[in-house]
Amino acid sequence: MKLRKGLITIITIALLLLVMVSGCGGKSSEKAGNSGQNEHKILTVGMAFAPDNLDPAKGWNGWHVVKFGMGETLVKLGRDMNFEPWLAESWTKVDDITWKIKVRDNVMFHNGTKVTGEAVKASLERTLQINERAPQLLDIALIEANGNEITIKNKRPNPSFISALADPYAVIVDVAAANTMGEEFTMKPVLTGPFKVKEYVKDVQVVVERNDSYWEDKAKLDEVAFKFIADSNTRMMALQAGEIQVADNIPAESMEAITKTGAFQVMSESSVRTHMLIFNVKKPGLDDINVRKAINMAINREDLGSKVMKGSGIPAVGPFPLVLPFGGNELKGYTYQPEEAGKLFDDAGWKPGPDNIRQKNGKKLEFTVLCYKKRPELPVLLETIQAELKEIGIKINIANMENISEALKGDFDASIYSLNTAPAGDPQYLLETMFRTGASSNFGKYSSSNLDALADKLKTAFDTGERNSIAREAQQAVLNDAAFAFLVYPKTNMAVSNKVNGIVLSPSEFYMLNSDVTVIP
Amino acid sequence: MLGLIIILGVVAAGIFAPYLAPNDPLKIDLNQRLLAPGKQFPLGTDHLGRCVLSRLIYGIRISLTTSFIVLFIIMTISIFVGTVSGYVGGKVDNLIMRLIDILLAFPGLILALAIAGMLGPSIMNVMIALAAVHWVGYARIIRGMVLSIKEKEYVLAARACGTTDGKIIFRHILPNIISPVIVLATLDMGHLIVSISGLSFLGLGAQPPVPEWGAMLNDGRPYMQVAPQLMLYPGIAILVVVLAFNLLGDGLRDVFDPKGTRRA
Amino acid sequence: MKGYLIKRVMYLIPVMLGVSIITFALINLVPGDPAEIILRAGGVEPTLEAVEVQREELGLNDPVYVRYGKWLWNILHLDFGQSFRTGHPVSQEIIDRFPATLELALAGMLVMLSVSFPVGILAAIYKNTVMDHLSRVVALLGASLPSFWLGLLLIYYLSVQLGLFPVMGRGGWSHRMLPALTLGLGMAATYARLLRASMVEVLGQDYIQAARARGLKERVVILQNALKNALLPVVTAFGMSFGHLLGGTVIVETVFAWPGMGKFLVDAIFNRDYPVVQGYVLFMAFVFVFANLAVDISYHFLDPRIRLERGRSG
Repeated sequence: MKLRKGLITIITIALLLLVMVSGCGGKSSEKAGNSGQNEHKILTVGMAFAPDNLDPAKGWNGWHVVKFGMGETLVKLGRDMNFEPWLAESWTKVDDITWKIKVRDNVMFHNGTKVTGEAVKASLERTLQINERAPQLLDIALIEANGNEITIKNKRPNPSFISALADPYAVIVDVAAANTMGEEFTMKPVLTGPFKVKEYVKDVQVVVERNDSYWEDKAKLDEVAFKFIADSNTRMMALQAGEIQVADNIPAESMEAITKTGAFQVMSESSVRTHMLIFNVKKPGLDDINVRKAINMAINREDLGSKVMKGSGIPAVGPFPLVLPFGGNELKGYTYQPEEAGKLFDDAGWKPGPDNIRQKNGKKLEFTVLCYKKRPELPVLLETIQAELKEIGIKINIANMENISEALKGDFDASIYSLNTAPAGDPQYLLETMFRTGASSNFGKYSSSNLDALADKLKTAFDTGERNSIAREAQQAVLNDAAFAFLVYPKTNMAVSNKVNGIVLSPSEFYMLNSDVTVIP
Repeated sequence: MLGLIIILGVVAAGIFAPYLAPNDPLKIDLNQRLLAPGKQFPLGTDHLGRCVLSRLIYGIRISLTTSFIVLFIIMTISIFVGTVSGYVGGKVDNLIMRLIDILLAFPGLILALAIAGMLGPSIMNVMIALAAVHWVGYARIIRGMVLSIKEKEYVLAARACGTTDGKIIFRHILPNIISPVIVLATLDMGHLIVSISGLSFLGLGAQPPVPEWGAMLNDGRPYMQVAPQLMLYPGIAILVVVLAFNLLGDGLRDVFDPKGTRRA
Repeated sequence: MKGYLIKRVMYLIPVMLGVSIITFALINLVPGDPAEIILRAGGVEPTLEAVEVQREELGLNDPVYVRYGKWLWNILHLDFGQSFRTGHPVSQEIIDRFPATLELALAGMLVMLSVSFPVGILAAIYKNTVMDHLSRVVALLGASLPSFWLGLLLIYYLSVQLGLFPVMGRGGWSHRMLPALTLGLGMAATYARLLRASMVEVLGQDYIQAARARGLKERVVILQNALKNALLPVVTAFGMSFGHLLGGTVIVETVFAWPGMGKFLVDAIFNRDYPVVQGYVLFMAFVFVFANLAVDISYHFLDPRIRLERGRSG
């Protein structure tokens, strides 16, 4: 009996191994989506990130709502980072603090209500009230509406006002509808875009359908489903299985496998995004600038960009990517010199303990760094950095978060983070939201009077050359304080089935679906 | 028997990991990422260029020691509680049994998940959570055993002779429950290993760069298509070890408990 | 029957009370002061004053029994608190996701039944043949196979390589297939063996021999006489392993991105969304306890010999 049982087990394990090994060489399948549906054109898109809800004024929801082709702002940011009219027909600067904006006369909300100057005024005021970034960036003192025209007065001169209007929190919504619908508005917002919500299941999917009363060319697609697939591997597999035809945020490792099939192309574009480490400068250990500098010097950014990200990341210098006119070319950043980092530690009194972790006055250099997996390269970057920092005597524990923006509002030592540094092509944005003392996204509690003064100065500078040079000065200030470790500038990428036409990647990451997108049957 | 041989082999591999592992399990080499199995790396490398085989071998230490420690804690608590409850009886027994009923009203894995989640992700917390949840079933069984042994003639006789309670427990009761308890423990070892690696797979247990099998599976998931070995081998490792423990448990049960009484 | 039911339900009251106490106590496992945690979750810097205000607001300065009483009062009114992350009531979030999890659990059970019944019965009838041994091996494998790995293998081979099923999400039958298999197969292995053992025992009983002697068809004997009696231990075991099924949904939902409560729980854990974790645990304990109640009652129906005296089966 014993013997037989043993024999059976051995056979089973052998069979199992055989199955495993033989399966490895198999071929992946390609299924085309929606063939034969000439009449009804449907596209399915897999997205890494999901909005909290569909009210564009809240938090970062606007970014999603604009990508979904539902919401529109007054001003649109072109591919070359120039501003184009969208819901606004034109705008003029009256004086340093006054703007006149003419709203298009032929725009209707999804419910058929006309978009008037009054409606735009109400919408902007709603944004100011609801969105935490808006008051700072728009800096509006008052809005007057007169027919199709609105006049906006800023509190102070605001050179980046037009770019602040392009930010998706300023999507124009029907405020009257929002007020009567209450909570339902967050599920079925009344907007102006070429598509409107058909179905929304939180964290699962948004299905949008063509808005037949759109003010410009009507959408070519009948329906688009955006499925939220946080796991990058699942997203890739869904793409290859034909369940989705477009997938955003492709891991570098998968690009080859995906293009090899011939059924997809990977679109890739330099972005204005930066992957970075945020230090909580109030935490013991990290409050020492020498520690932060040493960390900066122990990171091999070349390796991160070329090896971890397989070339789809450019080694970072300062906060702004090099594609921006004020990006980090002339800045003095940190290079990889682990020995120097060690010396810096020794001089500052951080000595290796028995476990090789440096310590001083009983405080060990052991930190928990937050991480999230929705951007597939981040965990890999962080694990690499973990090993690099171990070399210089810092112990890193990695804590994975499901919702990083919530986690950053809480208590943490440090975090890896990815940020669109200049969505509207203007340096003011990052300074105001991330670097200024007490700013809404200044998670690490960084505070520098020097930087604050430069941010103030930028606020009053209208000349582009001057703005760029102030921006560079501000970046250098942040670098000198080593309040962050800027790692790499990633390229944005998206895998698109060959049957899909018209999707355009924008460096700003604002836009995705538009009227022109279509599917070849 | 085969189960025992596999287990001994695995334990030996764990102990001699530094000699068996071809490479440093933690050494990151970005030039050698996601390599297919080859000469230098018999099972290939992971997403950071670490040797998969070496990580698997070192992973034995993590999986076996953690589950063994949890098992030990469970046994200590449950033998203590079960014996006290069964032997003392009365109100104490009643109270303990109510507590056990309450704890059994939770689906085990879910309570463990919640406890580990509340404590925060770490392998230590996962161990605490599993121990906190799993002792209950054992305590109940042990109490049952103690109750029946308590009524046996030799115990009654010992008590009639004026033997102290402590002596009765250590001389007569514990020796009689220890072997069935060991069988139960072996049967559960596989279950514990799966639980620990499962929680690590969810990201609650072992944190990077610790080479834990469940965590390795989770890490390998994004590279399923490019490097399927990352997802295959850790799973096989778990399967083989768990299978071995289940075989051993089955065999032990045949020996000690031919009637095949099932535990709750 | 009625008396038994009443007694059985009455018994649940102290148990559920205990369950609620433990769930309430869970929050104390979180390192740190709950007031501080809530402040931080809301993005407020926890200054001494802010913490004090929050403590007062939460009633944390009240004695623990007062806090528990208030909490329980809310729970009895189906108020599980609000999710830190979404700000919505936890009860609503759970109810929204419950159908998905229920669907998965039922599909998993279906797989389990449709695999374990034929295998278990056939193994019993053809005892000690190749069929029986094979089922034993498969059962052992099934019991040792971690479900999260099985899920990955199914995705890799059946979805990615062969393109037979969708890789994730909820939808029609094709979406249900792999998650249900993952959830059901491991359990099916155990049940097949259990049913086999039970059938073997029943088939050896006198009344089965008698039925055969009366010339009843073998099929009738097995399906009508033997199976019904062999089911008893299986049903009991099912009540116990229902918890296993519920726990299994957490892992399966994570692997397959199934938008149910289990995935929600895991997300909540990583978001440190403690009210959600508490609400989920309490809800699941409810479901588990009532499932066991249902099992006990059905046991009662299956075996009229058992009356009042039967205790709890869990």
